[in-house]
Amino acid sequence: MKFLFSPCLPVVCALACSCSGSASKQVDPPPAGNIDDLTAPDTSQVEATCKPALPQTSRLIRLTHRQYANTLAELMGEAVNVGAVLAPDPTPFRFDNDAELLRVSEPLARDYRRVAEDIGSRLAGNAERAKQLTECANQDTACATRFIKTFGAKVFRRPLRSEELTAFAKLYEVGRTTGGFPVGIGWTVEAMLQTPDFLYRVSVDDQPGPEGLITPSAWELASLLSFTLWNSMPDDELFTAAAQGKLLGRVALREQVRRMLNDRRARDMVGDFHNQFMEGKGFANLQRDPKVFPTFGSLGPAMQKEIELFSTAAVLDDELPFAAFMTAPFTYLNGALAKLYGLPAPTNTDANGFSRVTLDGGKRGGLLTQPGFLSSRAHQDASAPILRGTFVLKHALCMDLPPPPPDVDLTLPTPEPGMTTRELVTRITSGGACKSCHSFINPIGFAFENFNAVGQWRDMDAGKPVDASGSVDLGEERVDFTGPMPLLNRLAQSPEAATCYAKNWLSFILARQLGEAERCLPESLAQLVGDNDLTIKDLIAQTVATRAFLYRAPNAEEGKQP
Amino acid sequence: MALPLLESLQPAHANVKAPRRLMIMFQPCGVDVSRFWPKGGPGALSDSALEGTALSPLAGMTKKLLVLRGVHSSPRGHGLDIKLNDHALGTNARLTAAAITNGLAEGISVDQFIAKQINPQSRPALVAAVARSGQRDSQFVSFMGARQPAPMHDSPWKMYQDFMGLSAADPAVLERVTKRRQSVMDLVRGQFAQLSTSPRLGQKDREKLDLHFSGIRDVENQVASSCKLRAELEAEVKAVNPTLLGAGSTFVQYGKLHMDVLSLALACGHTNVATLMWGAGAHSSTFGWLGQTNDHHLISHRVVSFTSSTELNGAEDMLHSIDLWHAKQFRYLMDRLNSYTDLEGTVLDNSALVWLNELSDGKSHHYRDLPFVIAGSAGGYLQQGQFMNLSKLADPLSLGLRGLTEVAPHNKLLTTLCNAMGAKTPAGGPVTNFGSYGLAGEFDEIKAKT
Repeated sequence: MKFLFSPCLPVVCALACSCSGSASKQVDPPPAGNIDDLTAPDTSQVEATCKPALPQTSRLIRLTHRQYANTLAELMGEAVNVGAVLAPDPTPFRFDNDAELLRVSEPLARDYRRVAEDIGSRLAGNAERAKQLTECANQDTACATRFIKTFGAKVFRRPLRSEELTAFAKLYEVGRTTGGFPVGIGWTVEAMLQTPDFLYRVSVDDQPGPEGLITPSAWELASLLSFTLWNSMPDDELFTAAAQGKLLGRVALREQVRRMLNDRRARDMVGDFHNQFMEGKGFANLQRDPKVFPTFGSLGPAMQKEIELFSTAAVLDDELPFAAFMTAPFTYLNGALAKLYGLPAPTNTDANGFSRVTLDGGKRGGLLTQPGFLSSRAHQDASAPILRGTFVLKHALCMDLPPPPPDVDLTLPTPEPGMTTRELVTRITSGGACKSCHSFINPIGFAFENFNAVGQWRDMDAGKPVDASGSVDLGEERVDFTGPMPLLNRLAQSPEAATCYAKNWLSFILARQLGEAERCLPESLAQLVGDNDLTIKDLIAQTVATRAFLYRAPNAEEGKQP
Repeated sequence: MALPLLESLQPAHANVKAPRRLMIMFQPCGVDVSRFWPKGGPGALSDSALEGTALSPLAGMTKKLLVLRGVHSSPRGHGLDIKLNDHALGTNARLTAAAITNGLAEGISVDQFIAKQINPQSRPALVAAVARSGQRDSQFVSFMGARQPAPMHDSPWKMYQDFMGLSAADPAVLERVTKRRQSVMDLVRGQFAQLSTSPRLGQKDREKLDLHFSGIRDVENQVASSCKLRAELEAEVKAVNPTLLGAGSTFVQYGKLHMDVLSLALACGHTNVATLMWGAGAHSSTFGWLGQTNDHHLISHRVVSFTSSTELNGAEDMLHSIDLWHAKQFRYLMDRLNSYTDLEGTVLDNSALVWLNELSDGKSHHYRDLPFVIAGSAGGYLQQGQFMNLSKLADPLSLGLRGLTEVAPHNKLLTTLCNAMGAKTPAGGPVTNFGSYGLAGEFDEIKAKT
């Protein structure tokens, strides 16, 4: 049975039209920079063979809740716990930054208002705080005007237009006459934090690009980079580069990307990506039979932390390539997790109580041998080989698995006492209609049978030695394995797994699902990475250098007046 | 049963003819069908017929009840209409009767459709979830439109704050706040206006912006609401821990507070449509307060776990307990709504309060013979005091799972509810065929005889 690769949703390809609509009022353009082709030469090489038409994408991408929290922390110098405040977004797709799903409903608009009013009132009621934020020792109107200009540019992520400066100055003045400088500042900030210019990444300031495509303005590019690589707003260096026209150049761009990937803020993004990839958000809701696993209940957050710390270290510190990442024999543990692993309590722990721990490479390595994956693909008291197998096929190999046939008998057969999970699952799925898929789902799931329902290693199940052997066709080859690591080592070397991983990164970085026409992109990217022995960090940098990321196609409807 | 006075309330419609209200109460995982329905078959309801059934907590209120069986889901399950797991189908289709792709319904749900027409300022139906544990593709019953799940309130406190507006504080404070809000929102609105003039925005982006804009439209005009919870209850709602999301033992507490706040919202006229989910489809919470240690989904399948397939001893009784418990919550809602009076009748009389489920028999994922219990006559539109079998077969489950023509598709109930609430088609006529599966027409049998 060959692995099939069918991508996800079909998409309407953008019509190639020349955009002749007159622009609305432009922001003052930055000094003319070197607007050459921003894509990297080697990526251009990749895209020479794979140049799908770019799909229509939104020009208003709402900040995700995580991005919102990070951005507020940068602006205001204090953390906002959005988990408690903002209405949660629905996330039926893989990643929560999918632009199509990020909308502002009425409840969310109220939540944004609540946060803005809270911040505003704390400024209005505290002169010290207002002075600190504005750096206005004198608390006079001239300084307030300066604050509106500089702080406003950070909030809007672009310079304010003259009419905007006037409007905010007026608002400040009304506030000031009501209750003095702090109140004026409070009202100003309260308004700024509710504007669409803050809450969305707005891309309407089109610049000409190669082949009739549209380049974002330097300011918009700064935001595109920072929210993609840092899940947060641009820093002063990015803003300055944009202002000086130094961002829209191939060399400068690559330098910035390199700098950003080495910055601590990239850790948030890398951890976030892998946490979502492994569906870590659901770990907190996992339940185990308390008679068998009494301490499991509180491990959810720790297992998420493990994913974040491991992936950040592997990708950004150790700079591993994909194959090594998939089987890396180390992880990050706190005391409770170490117990689960059967390891001594970790020493030299960080502020969260975690520390790096080397693992027995014969038994464990990489995300798929961590308890987060293993227990989220398990039942209350038993492992779930079918769930583990389907996860690997769907998410590590990007295989499009159909659901079970509709006429399958749902009643479970009565087990004999002393049956192992493997024996039970084999029996359940041995029917004729089941074989076509389960002949390759099951072996992969059984490879993980050495891990019980909470991810602990076991050599016995129901009194019998665990049988984690199997074989499966991978591409043209038949692969035999016994246990998780031989399977994972083989998968790690496979172009299918590398392409699938690249596809996930593409989806995350482009903030959308890839269309049918873009099938070649993950393949080309993975090929480039593989041929040149590139690391995952390089892969991210390469993705951020593609035309799919940097440019947009003109939308068919643009140019029409509302 | 007299309820303690829970709030200071100036009912919204004490002096004028009240609108009709719709409230949906969603229970996941099916029911114990052997003990759900009233005894003795279809006919007039009586307290004795409810004894020993899951509906026994509703005794004393049979005059305001309408119990329906024999209805099947449209689209039908088990791959007949759509190839999809039946929890996802049952949950997503229950209020939409629409196609489903990638775990999201391809159409508006009946609560949102009605709310657009009968709610003040066309605001959306108020949707709350007590817990979200369940399957990823079975999270939503309420949809603003195709593939657009309605936002759900997890926190009864935030929901309450949202429609409370400004509390009736010192008038000087009120004036300052209003002035601030007006000034601030004028500027914010100006930014929206400016952005929307950009010729770069396509249709979808404009809709996105419009949706957001309409959400901030009335912010500064929220006047002091005389619709408040009593101080102790308000304090209880405020104390809700926003991060717990009704997990574990907070399920009961948050559920009750959700019911209190939703009932208040309906009585105050903040909304005329509300929906409450007790967990997502394939619900995996454990009902520890009933002394249970297995999760709801497992119990509905009568197994200890999904791989061991060991039969769960006593699963039937556990499931029946869960059904009884939900009936008690339904009773609580009935009593709350019945305690508010409109000019004519109580709020309950002018409402349709509908208890429904994603499945009928959870073990076989049956989509036929779905439980529907309706309280209130929607202002005299619906019959009361009756138990009806709309399939015309004594045991609708005996039809089996496959290959039969439509008899009593549930979209007809949705159509009936639309008309009960006075909602219309865009052309201005009555709704004749809600959703994209099922059959045209209402369930005429359940309408009051004029």
